[in-house]
Amino acid sequence: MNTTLSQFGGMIRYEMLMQFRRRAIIVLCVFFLVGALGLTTLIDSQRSVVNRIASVRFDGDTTIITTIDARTQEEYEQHVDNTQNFIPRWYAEVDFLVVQSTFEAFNVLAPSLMILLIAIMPMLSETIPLDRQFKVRELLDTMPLPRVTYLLGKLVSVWIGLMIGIVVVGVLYGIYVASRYGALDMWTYVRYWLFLMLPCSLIGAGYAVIVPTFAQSRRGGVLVGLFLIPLGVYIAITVIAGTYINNVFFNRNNVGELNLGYQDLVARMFSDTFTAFVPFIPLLLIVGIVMWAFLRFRAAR
Amino acid sequence: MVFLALMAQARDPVAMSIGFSAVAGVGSLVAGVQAALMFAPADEPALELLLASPRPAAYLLLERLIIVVGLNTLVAVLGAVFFTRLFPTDTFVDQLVRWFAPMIAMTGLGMWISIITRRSNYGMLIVILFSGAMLFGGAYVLIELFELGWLIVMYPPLDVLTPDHYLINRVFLTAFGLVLIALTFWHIREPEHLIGAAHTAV
Repeated sequence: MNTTLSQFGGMIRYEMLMQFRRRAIIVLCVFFLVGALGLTTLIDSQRSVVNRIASVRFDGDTTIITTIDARTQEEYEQHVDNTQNFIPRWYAEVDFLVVQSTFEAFNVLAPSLMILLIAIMPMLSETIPLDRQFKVRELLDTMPLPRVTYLLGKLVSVWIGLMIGIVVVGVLYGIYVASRYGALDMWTYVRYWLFLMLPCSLIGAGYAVIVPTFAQSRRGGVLVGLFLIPLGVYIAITVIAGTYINNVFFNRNNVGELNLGYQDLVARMFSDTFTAFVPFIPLLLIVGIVMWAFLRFRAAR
Repeated sequence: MVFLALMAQARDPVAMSIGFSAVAGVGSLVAGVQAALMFAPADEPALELLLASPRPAAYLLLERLIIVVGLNTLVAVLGAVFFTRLFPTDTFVDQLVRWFAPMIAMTGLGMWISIITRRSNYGMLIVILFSGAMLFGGAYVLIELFELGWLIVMYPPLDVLTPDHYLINRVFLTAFGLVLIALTFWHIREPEHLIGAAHTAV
């Protein structure tokens, strides 16, 4: 048991160092950060010409919406009849500008996540095939290294490396957005990264590492990564559409959801994220078992 | 291409937005990916042997380039025939003119990135993301925000660009691709440089 654990720890350590040395994870994270910052800057140029809602308050059957004029920066009020329009109750509970800025950041992060998952597939799919290309596989076969430890070591090392990179990107992006948009709802922002961005990337990376196990060379692994891109897009779309968009945008017009408080809405958004992930986790486990069986079969041949 | 054509006939919004540029878009994307996989020094087996032989490495690249361009031309021709049967308003020549410039540009981009980074996955990634960016809002951003419509690689909105701008766009893209292809050949002229004697690459 101790040998297996020390092998596992060693694999994680050295594979993670190798990931950084190959610069795959660094390139991925820089790419992700630059993409997100670029999109934010592009949207920001449009942001300055759009009137912004400063606050919402209810007065009987009327909703009073205070808006800031983009051109003059002056505030003006609009009175909306509640019986004719569905205005979610939580609009009045929150600092509207802060919530708006936070969700504007999420509007950029959602497509950026898709870009990240597209990039993860070909970039990380070479992790296991490289051992065969550099003839390390033969060396590993001479050692008492169980195949489960080998596969898990590869997977966890990539996960830890990616996690470090994504946390750094999250912090840097948060600082940038806060400097441009003003205050953010930090707790929601942190949860967005912890419960949506991070697990989504890790699941995508899991497939990118495990599926190309059968490839014999880096080029073969990259080709497998190319065919995994639709899966990455599918994971991103499923998670984003099933949680964030459904809860925050579409349920606004759902009468049954009007009285949901802001914290409840956000909490439900993140709990739905888990539901969206569930099908991908056992599938990854099944793929892992199939690849483990493949490695055993190949060794026994 | 067939899938996009059928989707466009079914009035799918994404396929409609790509419209007649489907042959150009898909053809150039595939060409770019193939070009990225064509020659990556870090993945090339027995490169030292090849470089020690009297046959220059550029021949290898040239042979593969001919195969990639030839295969893509064949696919684009078939796609153009199929499209012109479904959408008779667009001629066969229109489709090929629309496809040629981005195909050269993406081929050059894929080849060049793979050579300078020494790895095909970087070239492939840039080509895919570039195509994706062009498909989802790239043309809008270039036209509306920067007034650089002539830089659009794929899916140029023909109702927005003037014929002059379109011509400049095609010439620019072809020149861009050819320059990158030439740079790639220039980059592999030095055997030691190509092997990576000056630096370690894994």
